[in-house]
Parts: sequence; structure tokens; C-alpha cells
Amino acid sequence: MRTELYLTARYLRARPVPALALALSLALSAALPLISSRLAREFERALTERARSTPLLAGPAGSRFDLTLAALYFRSSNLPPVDLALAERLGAEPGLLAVGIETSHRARGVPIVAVAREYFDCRGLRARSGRLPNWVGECVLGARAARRLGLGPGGKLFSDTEHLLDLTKPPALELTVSGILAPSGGPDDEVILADLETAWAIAGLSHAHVDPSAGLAPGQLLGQAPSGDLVLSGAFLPDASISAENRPRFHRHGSAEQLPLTAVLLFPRDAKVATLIEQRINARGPEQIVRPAQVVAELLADVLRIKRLADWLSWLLGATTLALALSIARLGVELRAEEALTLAKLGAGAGVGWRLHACYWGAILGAASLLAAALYALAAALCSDPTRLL
Amino acid sequence: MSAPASADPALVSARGVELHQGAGRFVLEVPELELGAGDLVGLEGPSGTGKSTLLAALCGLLVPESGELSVLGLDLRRARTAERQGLLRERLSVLFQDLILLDYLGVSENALLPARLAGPQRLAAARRELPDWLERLGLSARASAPPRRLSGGERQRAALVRALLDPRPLVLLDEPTSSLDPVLAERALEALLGCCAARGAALLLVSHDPRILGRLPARLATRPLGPGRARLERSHP
Repeated sequence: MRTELYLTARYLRARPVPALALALSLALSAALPLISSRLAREFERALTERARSTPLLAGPAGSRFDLTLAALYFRSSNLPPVDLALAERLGAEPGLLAVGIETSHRARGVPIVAVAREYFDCRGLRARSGRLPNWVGECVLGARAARRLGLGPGGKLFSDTEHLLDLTKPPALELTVSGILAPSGGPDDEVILADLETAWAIAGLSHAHVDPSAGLAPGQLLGQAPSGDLVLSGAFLPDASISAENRPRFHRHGSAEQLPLTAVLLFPRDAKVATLIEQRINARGPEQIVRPAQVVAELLADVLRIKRLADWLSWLLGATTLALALSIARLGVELRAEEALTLAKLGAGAGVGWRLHACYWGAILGAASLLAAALYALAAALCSDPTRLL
Repeated sequence: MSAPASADPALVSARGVELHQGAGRFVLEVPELELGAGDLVGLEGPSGTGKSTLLAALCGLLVPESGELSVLGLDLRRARTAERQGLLRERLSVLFQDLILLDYLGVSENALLPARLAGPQRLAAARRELPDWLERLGLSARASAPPRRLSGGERQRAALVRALLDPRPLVLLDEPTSSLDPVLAERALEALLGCCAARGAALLLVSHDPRILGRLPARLATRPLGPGRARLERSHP
């Protein structure tokens, strides 16, 4: 057998490409159904877990899928915002905890999720290093987001601005990283979390600037409105960063009740409170309350239908690959018949041809198994939080 | 009929042997054949008269239909397959007309293959001898080249190195110099005869080349007897 192993090694060295292609196709055929099955299972588990941990969700009327995906999994959406007043009204209900959330901003492409302080307790989030944000302008990074951004406590980053050349829009705001969250295995790992005030500061709804009455540069004051408000030039820019020095000067114009939120997470004391508030808000409108667990179940039903189709295609691919491999094996027997005859003419024992084929296919199947295991492990590692696939 | 008498017991002994090829479409009669240690015998004859058939029978690859055929003490008519394979693997040096080199091995690896099949000790000894043989047959620079990159003559010399590298008592060669120019053929023959003399091995060499056959002290020939039938006879230069 030693000679057969030696000859197989030499044969593979002389013809590595067909052997690798064969091993890779077998590995993919074996791994793909397993990976898709595992992913679907993990995806379902993670999605359901997250949804179950949020009993109710209040938001604008419209797609309940968009609302749930935006508020729970931080996907972009085109839903209009709801007012802070909704959160305050719901928070005033007995037996109901309302947590406002705002997800419309990004920094270096990473979503900025601005939340009320209670959010961290509701999600069981704690800082692995540094601390949770205490001040406007501070943020805490999810574990994966911190790796992606390469930042730690004390680090700085600017919010993304969609209006780079429009001076009438708010400039990017510099955020200070106050800490890094411990990994949670959920969507919170992927985002930047900050206080709601910070989101409104990014949107320009609260800002700081020098006191106009204390003196302006020539040309900055354009006039005074009949209401008494000063009309300032576009060159008069608000502060682009928040520090202990300018923090007291941060202020808002207009009504606080109209400040925007993406949604309000609701944690009712019991099922009765949940049912009552759900019925009342949904009957009155224009806002809606949805049950994320139900929404996700509907979503998963569609996803699982597609998954069943993908499974069927995977098995078909596997069967085709197996048939091809069997054809290749049969062709190999024919192509290497002369080699077996040569070895027989040199006195190799009976069945040397079959032993050579067995060694070759042993090597191919061994390599394919290792590749399949590596692919499976890689897929499992890459998809530790499958909600990222959303 | 026998090759020149030898004092040693016969390495090859055949009496009244009939060899059938192609389900009896061709029959070679071997009335008598004896080869002793150190015998150097040429075998000639027209194409298709059974020279390669005789070599195949002496290698144990073709079992005689009748008569007695013994090679190195093994009765080839009665021997089991494994015994015949053992004889071929460990005690015979053979060069087949079609050379049968493995295309994914280099010259050196092809040359070492019989010794590898014979066991680790024989392989180790063959490895030591290999550079000298490659040098003698002008293949040192082509040691790692696969057969597809060799000329016809180089392939033939590679097969000759493979046949001679591992010392064995009986050497059977089918047209070992047919693709070589006269100079190389002479060089190969010198190496071959020197090797047989040094080892005391018996040689049966098939050739159509009178110069090659003329260098061997004894000669046999296959003579056609009619369609599909031939006989092995003693031949005189």
C-alpha cells in the first residue's frame, strides 16, 4: 500500500488542478446545504429572540415590517418619524415602560442608534471598557462596530452628513467614544449607541453657537425678523463638536414634543396592559403598535418558503455533483487502466489499479471533507449574528 | 534446442511449451529452451512470430497452454498468480517493447519503481546506484523530466535504466536499442553487457539489429511455420 500512496501523491502533484476542482466541488456540494440550513436556523433563532424581547413597538403608520426591521434590527427605512410626544404619552401610561429610539443617522457608515437611557437596561447591555454615554455628544460602540471603526474609549468620530455642500444644513457632529459594549450576539454589536439628545444635535435640532448678542463678525447678522428673532448669515456655523465648555450652550428652538423618533419600544407590565394600549393606539391612529414577535413570524414564513426552495436546489446540486463525480471516477478507471497494466507488468500485486483509485478518491474525499468542514466553520463564525443578513 | 550450456543450474527451462496469444489465433512452439547464469542470448525473428510472446511467458504474464516452463525454479504453469507476480517483482529485469513509463513520474522516479515495488532495502540500494546509471546512459540532465518531455531515445534509455538498476538474476529485454543512434546503442549495450557480467545475470535480448545480435555469443530465432504459428529455434549467425 505504501507504493500506492506514493504513486497517488505523485499523481496528485502532477495534476493538482483537476483534483482541487473535484475536491472543491464536492466540498461545496456537501457544505452548502449544511451551511444554508444552519444559517436559516440561526437566523430564525436570532430574529425570534430579538423580537420576543420587545413585546410591543409603537411607530408611524405604514409597513409593520419596515418599522420592526428599523427599530429592532436597525435597517434603513423610509418611514416618517413619530414625535417625542408619543413616547412621553405612552410612558405616562401605568404599567408601561416606553423607550424612544432614533436610528436615522450614521457615522462612517455605521448606524447611530440614539436611545433613552433605559434601553441599555432593557437589552442587558453593559460597557466592557469605558462607560455608557452620560452626555450629549458621547457614544458607546457595539463590540463589532468598535472593531470595524478601530476606536476605543476617548476616540472621536464624525457623524456622516448627507448635505456636504449645503451650508444651511447642519455640519457633521464630532462624537466622543465613552466606552465599548460587551458583545451581546445581536444587532447592538453592530452599531453606535448614543443619547437621544445626540441624535437631535446631529440633526441640527439642538445646537450651540456663540451668543449673537455678544458680538458677531461683520456680515454675519443679516437683520431681525418681526418676531424679534435674529436672521444670521449661512456663514454663521454652529459648533461642530460638543465639549464641557460648550455643552451648557446647547439649546433647541421650537417644541420639544415634536422632536423626531424612529419608534418607541414598549415594555408592558403584563398582557392586559399590552392589549389595552395596543387597541387604544391602533384604534385612534395615526400611529400604530405592532407585536414584533408576530411580525417576525410572518417574515420568517416567507423566508422559510424561500429556504425550502434553496434546500431543494442544494440537494439537486449535490446529486448532480455526485453523479458527475461517479462519472469522473468511471472515466478515471478507464484513463488509468494503462497505468494499472504497467504496474502489473512490473509485478505489482493483484488489484493495484483499484488500490490506486481507492487512494486517489480517499485523498479527494479527505480534502473535500476538510474543505467542507472549514467552509462550515467559516460560515458559522461569520454569521455569529445572522440578523446582519437582513 | 538450448542456449550454450552453462555449468550452473538453469535459470530458464522450457520443454514442449506451447504459448497461445489472442485466444489461440497465434501459437508459439518452444520445443526446448535453457538459460543458465551468465548466458547472453540474442533472440531474432520476423515481426509477429512470437518474440514478445516468449518474453511475456518468461515474465509469468502469459501462462503456457502445455509443456513445462520453469523460471528461476518457479514452475510457471502451476504457480499461483501471486507467485508469478513475486517472480516479476523481485527477480526479473524486464524491458518491454512499449517501454511503459508512468507519465506523472520523472525519469528517476520511473527508474526506481521496480525497486520500490521490491521493498525498502532494494529501493535504498537502487537510489545509491541511480546517479551512476543515469550518467552512463546520458540521462543525468533529464533525471526529473517526465516521459512526455523526453525524446524517443531518451524514453528508451530511461526504460533501460529502470530494467537494469535493481540487480536481478535474469534480464529480459525487448528491443532495448531500437530508438537509439549507433553511438548511443553501443554505449547502452556496453553498459548492459558490463552489468550482466558483473552480476552473473543471464540475458535474453530481442533485437532486429545484426550489430547488436553479433555482440552476443548465442542466438535464438522464431521461425514462422504458417499462418498463426511459429517455433523457437537455435539460430546461427
